[in-house]
Parts: sequence; C-alpha cells; structure tokens
Amino acid sequence: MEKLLEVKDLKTQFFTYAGVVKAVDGISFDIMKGEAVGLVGESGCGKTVTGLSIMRLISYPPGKIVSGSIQFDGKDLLSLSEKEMREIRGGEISMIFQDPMTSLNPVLTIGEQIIEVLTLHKKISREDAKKQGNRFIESCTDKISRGGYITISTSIKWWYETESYDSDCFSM
Amino acid sequence: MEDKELFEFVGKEELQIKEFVRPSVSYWSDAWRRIKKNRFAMIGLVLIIILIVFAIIGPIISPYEYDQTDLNNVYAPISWKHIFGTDELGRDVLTRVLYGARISLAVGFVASFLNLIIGVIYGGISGYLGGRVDNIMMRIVDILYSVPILLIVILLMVVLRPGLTNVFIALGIAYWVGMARIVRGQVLSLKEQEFTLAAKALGADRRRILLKHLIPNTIGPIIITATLLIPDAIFFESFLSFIGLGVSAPMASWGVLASDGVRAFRSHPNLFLVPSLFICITMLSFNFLGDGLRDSLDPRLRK
Repeated sequence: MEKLLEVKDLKTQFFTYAGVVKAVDGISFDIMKGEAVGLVGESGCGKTVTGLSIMRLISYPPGKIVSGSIQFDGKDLLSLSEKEMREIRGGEISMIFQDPMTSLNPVLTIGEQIIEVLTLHKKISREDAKKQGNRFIESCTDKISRGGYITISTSIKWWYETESYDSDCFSM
Repeated sequence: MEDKELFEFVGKEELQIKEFVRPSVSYWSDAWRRIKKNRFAMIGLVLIIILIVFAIIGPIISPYEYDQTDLNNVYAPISWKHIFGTDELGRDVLTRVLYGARISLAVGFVASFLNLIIGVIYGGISGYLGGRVDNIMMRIVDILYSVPILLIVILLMVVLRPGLTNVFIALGIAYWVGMARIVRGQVLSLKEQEFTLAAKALGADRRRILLKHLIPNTIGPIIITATLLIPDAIFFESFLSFIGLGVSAPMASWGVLASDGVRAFRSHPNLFLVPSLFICITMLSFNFLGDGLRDSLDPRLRK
C-alpha cells in the first residue's frame, strides 16, 4: 500500500513567558491510502496540535514546528509556500472542528459556509456551488427521513460527485 | 369511590407535545422590531427622512432661487410670502435653509461614508495582521488623534483653500481614526475565535477571511459609529463655514446662514435662529437614531 501521509519526529512547541511548552514532542506515524486512522489520547496530550501542525495552522508566535517532517502525497508540507498550503487546506486535507457553535461564523448562513469550500477549491461559479450545496442538504434530509445518520462519508461522497474542472486537485 | 375513578385515561395522541417552533427572526428584522419600540429613535428617523425629502424637493418647488436677491424686500418679516422672512439682500430664508440642508446633509453623509471606507479598511488590516504592523499603524492613529482635529482641518483648509470638496477631503482625513479603532478592536477579538481558524482550514486567504468573515461580524458597531459620525460632520462643517473656512456665499450651508444671521441678530433674530434650529434638530435626530441603533443592533440586548 502506498503511503499518503508520513509524519516523522514532529515537534511543535509553544514559546510562552513561562517557558517552552513541548505540546508535541517527536511523534511519528504513517497513514496509508484508503486507511482510516484514529488518534486517541487524554485531554491536553497534543492530538489537536498534531492536527493543526499537519495543516500548518499553528500561529507563530507563540507556537512553532521546531523539527520533524510531514510528507503528504509526495509533498513536504513544511516547505510549501502559504499559497500552496491554502490549496491543500480544505482541498486535500479537511478538518472538522470540535464545537460547531464556535466554528461556524454567526453572521453567515449555513448554505454560504457549505459552499465556501467549493468556491475556494473547485473553480465553479457561485450559482453552481449553490446548486451543489442544496443537493448536499437534500441528500442529508433524505438520509434522515429514511432513518439514517449523516456521516462523514456523506460529505466525502458529495465532494467527489461535485463537478470540478481540475480533477487531480483532490487525491484523498 | 374507587381509586380508579379518580383517574382518567388520556389518549396516546393527546400526550404528544406540540412542537414549539419559534419563527425564525433574522438579525435585521429583529433590529428593526426593536428600534420601532424606541420612540426617540423613530422620531429621529422620521425627522431625518422629512429633512432629506424637503432638502431634495424644497428648492425645486420654492418660487424663489437660493441666490435670488430682491432689494425691495430686504429683511422682510415672517409672513406667508416668506415663511422665515428674507435676509439683508432680500433672499428668501426658507429657500436658503432648505438649499443649505442639501449641502449640510451631503457633507454629513459623504464624510461619514469616506470615514467608513478608510476606517474599516485601516482598522481591519491593523487588527488582523497584528504584531508589529498593528503597532505602527495604531501609533499613526494615536498621533493623528493627539493633534486637535480642528487644527488639522484649519491647516488643510489653508493649503487647499475653502470650498465644498475641500471640506469633504478635510473631514475624510480627520475623522476616520475613531472608526479605525473600533474596527481594529473588534477584529482583534474576532480573529481569535474558532470560526476564523475554521475558515483558514478551508483554505481561505487573508483577504477573504478579513472581508467575508470578520468585517461582517462588526457590522453593528460600524453602522452605529457611521450614524453618529454624520451629526459630527454636519456640525463641524457648520462650524467651519461659520468661521469662514467652509463653503462661501452665495452657496448656503447652515453654518454660512448662521454666520450671516448673527450679524443682524439684534434686529432680525430669525435670520440666525432658523438655521441654528435646523442644525439642532438634525444633530438631535441623528444622535437619537444612533443611540437607538446602538441598543437595537447589540445582540446581547436581544429579547
């Protein structure tokens, strides 16, 4: 099997006035293509910081990835430019945040926040994105009315079925 | 009586609790609902609308021109022919006041709009980038703030020569600091919130996050500040015109009219009192409306 994500000896530290906090201290793991991996640990052990480090969303100051390497699909994420990183965020790697009350923007409608990822990564018009967003909501309500649950795979399926003009941009 | 008879069988259907559906109330309709209850704000709003309508149609339907002199009818008293009398050149005061309303209101709205654009962009960038950029940008604001606005405007007017466009420029340069500070403060706290991180994780760039996610969240304070800036600008323009740095005759802003009127105040007080009254009413109306907006746009006061 092919490696999709390879994290090697990742160290992320926070430089605070009270000293250096070693939030992630030398973690290494691989994720193969088609594999689902769960990272489990007690609170404060660095799961979220690991995720944020892979997305390169640790803001400096105070946080910094001090050493290690993150290989994703043949690319070294730590050496990519901010612009290339934006293509990957939401386009190839997504993140689901813990608390929907705070991770959704209170002044934007849900529809607008659903289609935002499409307008950013799929190079389709707003109108088409709107249609695709409505299709997603419909498939969700369909599923619920048939007694099913909405799962992450629902949204992944929707993501793949959405027409895109650069089809090689998502490989996950 | 048996115990059984004390109880009554309730059907299954009746047990089903009615679903409580609260009608979905959007931010704007809720704000409108609340401001309607605020009597002072509504009075202010109505007066402003009346003033705007009269400023637009008044000079058109008036039988006199704002600069039309009638030397046989100098200092005419208040009468049906001249509702507010005439001035020292026989010009109809009502026509001139309504014409002045155009200029004063235009100054208020344009200056407020200019400040809105400059202040929101400047404050937004400063707050979002943070760090050293924020530090430098805010020190510039502090310096501008520490110099009296009147001094800046007077210096500018000396360089640019008095005139209407230059009043706009001067007010636009001088007044945006308050707006910039408010927007910066809001953005500073909003950018630490999780939805900003979520937008970043979607791959949104900085411009998009600032313009689409952060600024819309500050729309309440922006509107309030802009509304309260209008009376400030109107008053300042009147003041500039009063001391001879604003628009000049025969153009008529309320400041010019008050300045002209003050010369004949002892014999013909109406020439001074009428434009002053209009300035007062306008200032009060905008301040009432601004205060009302402050109360109704604040989500914490939502009921």
